[in-house]
Amino acid sequence: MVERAGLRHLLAHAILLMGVCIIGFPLLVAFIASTLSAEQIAGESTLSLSLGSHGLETWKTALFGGQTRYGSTIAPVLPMMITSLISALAIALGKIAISLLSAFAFVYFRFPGRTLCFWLIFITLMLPVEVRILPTYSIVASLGLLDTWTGLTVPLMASATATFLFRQFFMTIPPELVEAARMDGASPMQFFRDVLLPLSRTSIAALFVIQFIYGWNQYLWPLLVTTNESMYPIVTGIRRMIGGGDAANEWNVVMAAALLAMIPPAIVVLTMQRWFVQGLVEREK
Amino acid sequence: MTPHSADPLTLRDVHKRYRDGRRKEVHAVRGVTVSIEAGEFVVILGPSGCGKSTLLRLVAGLETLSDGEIDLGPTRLNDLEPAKRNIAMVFQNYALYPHMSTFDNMAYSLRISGLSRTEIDTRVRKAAAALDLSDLLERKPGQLSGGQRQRVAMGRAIVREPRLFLFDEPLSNLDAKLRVQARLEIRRLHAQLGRTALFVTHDQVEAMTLADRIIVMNNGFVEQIGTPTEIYAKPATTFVAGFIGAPPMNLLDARVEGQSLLLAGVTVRLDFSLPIQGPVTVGLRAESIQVGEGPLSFESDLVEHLGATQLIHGHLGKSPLVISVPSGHHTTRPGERLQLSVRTADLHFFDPASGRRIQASPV
Repeated sequence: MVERAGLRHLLAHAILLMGVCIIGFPLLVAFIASTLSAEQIAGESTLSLSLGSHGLETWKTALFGGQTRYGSTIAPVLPMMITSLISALAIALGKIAISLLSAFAFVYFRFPGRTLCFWLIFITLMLPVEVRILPTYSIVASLGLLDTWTGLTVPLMASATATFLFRQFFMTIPPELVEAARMDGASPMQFFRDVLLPLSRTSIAALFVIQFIYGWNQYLWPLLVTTNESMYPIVTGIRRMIGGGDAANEWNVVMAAALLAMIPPAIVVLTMQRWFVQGLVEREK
Repeated sequence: MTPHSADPLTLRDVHKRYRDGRRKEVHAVRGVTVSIEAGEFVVILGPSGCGKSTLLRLVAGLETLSDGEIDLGPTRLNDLEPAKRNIAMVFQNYALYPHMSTFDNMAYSLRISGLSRTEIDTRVRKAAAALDLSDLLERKPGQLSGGQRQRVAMGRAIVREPRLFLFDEPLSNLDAKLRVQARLEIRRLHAQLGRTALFVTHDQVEAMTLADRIIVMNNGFVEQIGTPTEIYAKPATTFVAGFIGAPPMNLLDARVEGQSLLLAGVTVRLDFSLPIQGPVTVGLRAESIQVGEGPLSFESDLVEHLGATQLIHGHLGKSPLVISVPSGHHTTRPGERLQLSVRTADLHFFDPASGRRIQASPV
């Protein structure tokens, strides 16, 4: 029995290690590439697996921008990261706030057209940004919101998924709790703030992680509504580093920028991991 | 508010109708009229689905009245928000806020009403001391036992010093031993606070032990209102007769002919007169039947030993009958034939059509 358990553990760990390698290897390659010079990358037919000596220089160029030795101008990644951070935070927090409030309305209030409203929101699950991109763009453009934070974030905030998730969660909260709060004299918003919000905190955390990454990874929408370099988020910024035509690509800088783009989502996931898992699997009684 | 001021509660022709999930109209409460005196402890007793909880929720304001009037002292409650009624309620599953400590659970309503920090602290600690919760103030509901949670729920009601206490089967989630304890606790607190209280239960032992008066409900109607003794001794309907008492009253079909009663093939001479002739339902408490000599012939099927007493289940003619006799007095075996006698004064009579009690009058 003991031996068999040991074997099972060994197998499980082997599979886990394999998974780590599959995910980790491209990262390693990207990191190594970022320490080589552009010449070295372009010159070799196979990717090198030994560290180069240009790491510091490349990362500095990627972060703060500047001229490379080969004469191409690199836009600094740091401001792009800040743009990404602001818009990802705004999208995630905005989504959570709107979804919490709409789920609150759907679960705890009777109003005419309640079911219709819910299904209208639900139906937008079938209409992600990519599908409705032209009408959305035309609205944002005619409101004069191109190249603004509002234009960059607000159209991505409405979320049927999050509304649905909170609605399902609120429906598991015993109705006696609302009644107890009513008997205690709490107004609807007091109940929302004092009872619902604290009870939803793990769900909020889980949703925050998912939506932060969703906001951070936005590519198509920022590409359309931003024309000013100061409003580029990092994901579109990386794309703009890869020039077309005659220009040689500075792959080392691109790799460094790509790795930089991964850091904030990784930090969010790692710090909120415990809550995230709790929110997905556990229901408080 | 002085510690012993209490308000009478009056319900006049209260109705509740609503549509259920399949849009069928349900008439849950059908014309309830009750006057509850200030400081009285009244228990609403009935089987599940009889409308007792709905009635309580109407008083609380958690349901809206379809018809009728509810007054608490000088205040008309009909259209008042639950928060404005100054009524506290203890829920069956306690409905404690799971993320708040015992202290915060009890303090929440006081915080909302804007009391000062020191006032809240004094009131909560006083209530906690009365309920033996002083050591548990920092714990969350998840870390409390069922009995402790129940006491926190009581504490949450007490700290508000409400005009009326409502209890919605607050003891049904406790085990038998704790239930007896909690029952005494509630009775003691009621004596201390002297507030009017309305307590819903389906457990007749709870009703009998707690109540100043009991309201027996069935099918949305009030069957009888009276003290526990009255309800036990003079059930107003066959429903009450069959619901109150352990075991409930035996109900047998019989006939009245002149001054005689035909019961299970035996003619009994009545020394009082009944305002009915022909078929009648006779009620007979299990403990008022004498075993030994007598005209009634009974066949036993099953014997239950309850310690001090034993219950003999069997048949009188074709009707089932339960007899309660002291243990040790006579050991009955299943299948045994027994002769029974009954004093005519112990018989209860009901109209077989309406189920209402028929009052006997002296000849």
